[in-house]
Amino acid sequence: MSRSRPAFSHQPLPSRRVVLSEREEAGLATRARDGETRAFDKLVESYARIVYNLVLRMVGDREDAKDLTQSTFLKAWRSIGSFDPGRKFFSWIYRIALNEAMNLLRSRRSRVDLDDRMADPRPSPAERIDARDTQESVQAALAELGDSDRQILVLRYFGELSYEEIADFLEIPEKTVKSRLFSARQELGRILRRQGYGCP
Amino acid sequence: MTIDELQQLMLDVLDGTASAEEEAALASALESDPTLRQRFEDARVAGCAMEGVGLAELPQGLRDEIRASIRSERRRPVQVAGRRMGWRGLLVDRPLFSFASAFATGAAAGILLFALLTGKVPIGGTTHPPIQGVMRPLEGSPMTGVLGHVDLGDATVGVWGQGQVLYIRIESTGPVPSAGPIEITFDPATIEPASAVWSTGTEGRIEIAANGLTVTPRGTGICELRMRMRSGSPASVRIHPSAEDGTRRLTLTSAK
Repeated sequence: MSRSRPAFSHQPLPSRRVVLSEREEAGLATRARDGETRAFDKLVESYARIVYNLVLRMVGDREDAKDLTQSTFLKAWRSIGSFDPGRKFFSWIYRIALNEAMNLLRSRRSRVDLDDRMADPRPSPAERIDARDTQESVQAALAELGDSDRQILVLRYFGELSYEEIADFLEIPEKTVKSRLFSARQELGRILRRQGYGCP
Repeated sequence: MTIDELQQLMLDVLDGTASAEEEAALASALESDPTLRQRFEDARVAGCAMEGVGLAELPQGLRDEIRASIRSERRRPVQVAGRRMGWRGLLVDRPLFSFASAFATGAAAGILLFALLTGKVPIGGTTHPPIQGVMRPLEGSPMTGVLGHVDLGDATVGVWGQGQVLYIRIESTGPVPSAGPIEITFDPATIEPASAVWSTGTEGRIEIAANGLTVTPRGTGICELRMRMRSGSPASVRIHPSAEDGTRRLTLTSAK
């Protein structure tokens, strides 16, 4: 039975992830774990774009995101022997990617602290971005959020994880995921509206 | 309704998963609470904006760069201490005791007892001295280690193990046509081939028979072979390199 959608709701997220079936993914991950580079190539093929988007939205810089995507897969390859085939590969690679992004953000912050002490008047990431369109407005707003808010939004909208998958990933109850996600959305929306961004 | 319940309801409505009754309940709550209405509008704007962003395209060439970096990593297992080792190098550069010790510290739960054994055989026009070694992996610890490496002149063969899987990597740098096929023979009762691929470079030929594989390189390329022990019980494998009538042969034998 079809149900009319209220005016203020949006369609559920479309599935944009390059989807491998669980079986395909597990098979490729197992073969990669056994040292088969071609199997790992297929995983790179499937997940490179998503990983790039995850780290791009976390760090807000395309060159950094490119480097982080590369280092994510390199780290994954180096430690593929420790991958548990009973787990989901995408969850494993997302974790590596987000850790890489967080490491960069931390090092960037210590650099910024130093810059502050040296009275370097460089603009903030948000200021550097000219918020002329949605893409840039959102990126600038994301840059103003705290790391955990940004992370949960990125997992949901760019990692395209379900609430259940986010709960599994963050090892928190699904209810907590929803609560944190709502708070993060609220904060992001507040920033966007302040910038004059509206939603039809 | 608690704040948690309200948040849950607002999220469900925004996701379009709320029932008509739930939507009506929220509409009523929003009408009487301007603060709540603002929070809902903030969340709605955020969702709208995030969904409008879409996925950025992957920078051109990035996939290839990732693959190239993986390939360059892949070469490392056949190098020890930054350079390649011949059979002689196994003894000269890394005495059996230290090799065994190093191997044991990184050895597998697969309990693969591994031996390298060679006689005084001409390979690639060079006579190698006899080398014999036994390496015992430790039970319960992950093992990844180079077990041996031999230079055939136009190709190098690296052998290493992980668990009960044995990897053989043939890296051909030789002329076209090649100096000849490389045979890997084994007892099919104890060892079975799991995979055989040319992972990079010019693909040569791989012929699979009941008791072995024949790899014939065609110029520069890397062939990766994966063998599996049929038995789950502790086993020993010996690799015996030899050469006969232009065919280079690696014989894998199980030894109790």
